[in-house]
Amino acid sequence: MEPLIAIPLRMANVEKDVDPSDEALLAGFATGDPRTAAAFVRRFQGRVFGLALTIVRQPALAEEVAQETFARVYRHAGNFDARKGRVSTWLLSIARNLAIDVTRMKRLDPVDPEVIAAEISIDNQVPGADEVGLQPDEREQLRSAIGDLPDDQRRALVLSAYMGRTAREISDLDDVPLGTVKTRIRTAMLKLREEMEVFE
Amino acid sequence: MNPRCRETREMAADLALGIVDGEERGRALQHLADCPDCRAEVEKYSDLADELLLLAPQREAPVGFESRVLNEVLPAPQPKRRRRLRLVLAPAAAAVAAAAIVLAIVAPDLRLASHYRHTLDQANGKEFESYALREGDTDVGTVFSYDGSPSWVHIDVDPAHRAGVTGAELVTDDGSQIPLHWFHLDASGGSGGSIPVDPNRVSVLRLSGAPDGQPLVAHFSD
Repeated sequence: MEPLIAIPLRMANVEKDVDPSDEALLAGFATGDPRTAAAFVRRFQGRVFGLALTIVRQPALAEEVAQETFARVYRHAGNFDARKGRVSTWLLSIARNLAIDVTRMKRLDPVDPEVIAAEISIDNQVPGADEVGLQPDEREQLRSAIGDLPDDQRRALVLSAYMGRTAREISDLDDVPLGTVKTRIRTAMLKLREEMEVFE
Repeated sequence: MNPRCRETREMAADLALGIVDGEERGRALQHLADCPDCRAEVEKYSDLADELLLLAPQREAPVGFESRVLNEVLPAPQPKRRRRLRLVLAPAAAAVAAAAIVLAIVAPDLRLASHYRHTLDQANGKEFESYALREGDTDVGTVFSYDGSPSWVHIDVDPAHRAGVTGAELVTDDGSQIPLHWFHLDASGGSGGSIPVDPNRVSVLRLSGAPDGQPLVAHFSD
């Protein structure tokens, strides 16, 4: 694993016009530097809180999830490996898992996957400073591809991707055979992956 | 393609979504450690799973969120050195020959510092400060801040500058703006209430609504 300390720290840039990279901010956050930590939280709080709210549906709980997400990131920043992924997706994976844990622990009412599907179909993103991955128009095509999925595939995809439901849980929930659910998830993912490969 | 590769690739999407549990997952991860082709296949789905999370709508975090996170996560800042205490301690370093004279000079300050500490200890507080409230270069009142549990501020505005002042907000070191909803000047020109942030993190308290449009401002670093 590449040690985090190897990432160049450019904390001085926090106060200047140049946006420091996500990785540099994460490194500064991990050292406890207050200004860099504030800049890190400011950069990602909207995304983290937004995802948490999408899953738990209650602002107070979403805030708890978002707060714990940043606490875990601070504690485990040394585990982040820039070769394996982006800071933003690492952060959101932690937020997603925490939010799913909260929905299970507190036995929250299940959210209608179509509500989440409708929310993710609307573009209200602000690109990050070091945004890599899909460009805005490509992301728009991905949204559109999700919208074009058959209802049962989209439902299975949302239940698994955002709400962490396993194929067996979805099978029990929707009262359909396990094999059918697996096929729906895999077919949906394959279609979206093919859509992404067009971008590459 | 061998059976292990076929089995792993069939569940590549499930693995990327993190919805494979137990023995099945363990078997797949063991295989992925030794099979770069299957690993590459799962990574493509992982990129997609990451992109799906990035589609979630961004929402404005609640007011004060940033400060709450930083307060919880970062090591507690060292309390500011109190100016009054510094004045008291500086003479203590003077030459032994001058000790008696110095002691005579600082004795009232020592008593005051002791009383100050006792008062704070009694109320579990850490610091009590006052700052000038200004309109431009003119002093128009005083802001008192208390660092404790809860922390609070009290604002006093001189009679000539109270008219029309209706809003108050704090601006923290990180630029967050925290409106003070309880703010309402009473007949004596005062208003006080608790604040949801460590006063050491406040840079400015700002009052708005004066007829000339110029805010009344107290800089907490003064």
